[in-house]
Amino acid sequence: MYFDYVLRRFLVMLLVIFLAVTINFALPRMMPGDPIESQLSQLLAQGGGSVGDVGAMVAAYREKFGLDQPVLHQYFNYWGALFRLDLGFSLASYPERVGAAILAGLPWTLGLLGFATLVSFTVGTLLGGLIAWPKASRLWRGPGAVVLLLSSVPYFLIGMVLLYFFAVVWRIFPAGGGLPYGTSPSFDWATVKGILWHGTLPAASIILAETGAWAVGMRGMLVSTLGEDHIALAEAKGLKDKRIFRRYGMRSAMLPQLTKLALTLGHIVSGAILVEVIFSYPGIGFRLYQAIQAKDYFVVQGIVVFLSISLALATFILDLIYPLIDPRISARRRG
Amino acid sequence: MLLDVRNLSVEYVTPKGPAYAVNDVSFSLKKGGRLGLVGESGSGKSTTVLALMRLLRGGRIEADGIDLDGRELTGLSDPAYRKLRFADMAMVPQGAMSSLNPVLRISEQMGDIFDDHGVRHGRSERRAILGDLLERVGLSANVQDRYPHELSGGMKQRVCIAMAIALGPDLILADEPTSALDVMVQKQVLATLGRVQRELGAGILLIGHDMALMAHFVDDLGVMYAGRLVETGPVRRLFAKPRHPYTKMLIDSLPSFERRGTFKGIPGVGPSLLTQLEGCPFHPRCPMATDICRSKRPDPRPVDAEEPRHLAACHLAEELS
Ligand SMILES: Nc1ncnc2c1ncn2[C@@H]1O[C@H](COP(=O)(O)OP(=O)(O)O)[C@@H](O)[C@H]1O
Ligand SMILES: [Mg+2]
Repeated sequence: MYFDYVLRRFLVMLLVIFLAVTINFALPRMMPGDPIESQLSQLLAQGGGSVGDVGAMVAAYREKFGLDQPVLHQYFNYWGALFRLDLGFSLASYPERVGAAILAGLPWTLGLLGFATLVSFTVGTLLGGLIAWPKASRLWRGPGAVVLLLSSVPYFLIGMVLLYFFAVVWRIFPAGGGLPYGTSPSFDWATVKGILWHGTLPAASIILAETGAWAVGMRGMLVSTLGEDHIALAEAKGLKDKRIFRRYGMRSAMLPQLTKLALTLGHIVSGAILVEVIFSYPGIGFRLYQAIQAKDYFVVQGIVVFLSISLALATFILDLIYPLIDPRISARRRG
Repeated sequence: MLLDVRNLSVEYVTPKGPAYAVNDVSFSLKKGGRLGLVGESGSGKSTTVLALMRLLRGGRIEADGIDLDGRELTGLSDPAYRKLRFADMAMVPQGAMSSLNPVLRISEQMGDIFDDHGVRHGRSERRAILGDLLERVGLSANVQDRYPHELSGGMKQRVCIAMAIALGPDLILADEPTSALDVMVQKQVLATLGRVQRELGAGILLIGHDMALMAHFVDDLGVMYAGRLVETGPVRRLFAKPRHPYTKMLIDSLPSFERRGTFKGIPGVGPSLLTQLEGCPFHPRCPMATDICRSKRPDPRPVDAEEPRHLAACHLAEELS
């Protein structure tokens, strides 16, 4: 039964990936003109690269993608390259490979967003629960109100305010980048310190903006959970308030939160693009932004395919673990 | 006496002002006895039970006395009241389908009753005790490993009964414990409840709206109308000689063998609880109402020379035949 369920989810994932890759393949080919020609001529117009370089690149791409071959043939080649994890070359910084560009950005984005998401989730969920619970200390209402208020401010706005005060006016934290300028990462204390130093403001702006959303979600869920019959019976059983709160209230109300967390974690590769842009943080989002600016066509395409696949994968993994979190799910989805 | 309630009243605070859900209700229950409360929906039965458990949401309780096992409960602190729940006074809830937490195993939901009342067991001892409790209500011991969604409605309600007897309380409050179940299952579950209650020697206060089902189960019956107990007494006397027009109409409305399937119901609707009606609360619906019924509220009084415990709150009790 569980196997049936997993198989169905797996097929759905394959379908999503198939569609994403196909659309990503088809879109540029449906545009009028030769994509490489147009990109390269733009590049030339902007005065980048010498004529010799461009000639070599066009040749490389023509051969690589076989753009003169039938479309179906191209399509299969595209899949073949994907399986070899080959996303082609970057136009803007040839001969860097698109795969390498993504890999270079990935740890930054995962680190920043992973950390910020987990912190906002934990703090927000707890705070939301404490605001919703009538027997909790009223002291929680203060921070609760602040966080709820901040949640209605877009995170990039918070990022800009933080940047202005902490980096420009008071100069406590650096204004951008992932590491002190000119250094490259290595396994030493200076690198760790540099990463933390540069990560503080971007992380803080995401945490400040997102915590409230988690708190709102949890508050709503807990309020409705507390109105359910099983809470009334838990009280009737003479259970301690703490147990009712944690086990009967929070644990039931947590399920939608965990789903949302898993979904958010699935999304984090796509990052908080605007935060990365504001702080010139060298993650995937910033690279995507740069690639769009530079009309680095293949990097954009590569990042989009990468994001689609990782999202489909994350959703599949979520589907796998969900029945373990909520015993009702496997039955319901099966039935 | 196991339970003695004197002049219990409950007001709910509502946006439209106080709603007088229960008014001056008095009754008592002897050790091991069975008392039933019937009345139409909204007559204050659940409120009475929740007031005894001190679990009202948004309600204010007033009482001259609530005596359980010789202990006065009205002045008890909230923490002391918590300890009393399920240890001395347990409850079988109304909504069998939704009263168990959907994400916790039965063993966890039964086990924490012991945990929070300071009863410690080893792992295997706890398993054995829970298994034994489940078997006593007619379930297999390994039901404890299941989640609620894996059980039928009847099984869930049996689990609730098993929980209610876990700490061996002296009093069980059962608020329409079978109303959410199929008719066939209702009888079986009620029989189980009766059996474990007898085995335990606990008293039971059973709430219901099915007079017929009730008549077979309880020793004494109380009839509630608009938050008031309008008639109380041994169930046989009540059925043989109802002394309140409302009780009589309830009994007459029961489908019998001769009038199979016809259920007359009672004309009219219950009064608003937001205002205290002058006179007898039943007079607008009462076919016998006279001037005194409209002006003076009747208090419960003995109405049966042979049975002093038979009380009715009706000016015209003696005229009822
Ligand atoms: N929490 C509450 N707040 C306000 N009014 C309530 C509340 N609970 C019940 N009531 C009202 O009190 C009256 C008695 O309700 P209840 O005790 O549930 O009756 P019963 O169990 O006999 O059907 C009803 O009119 C109901 O609407
Ligand atoms: Mg009720």
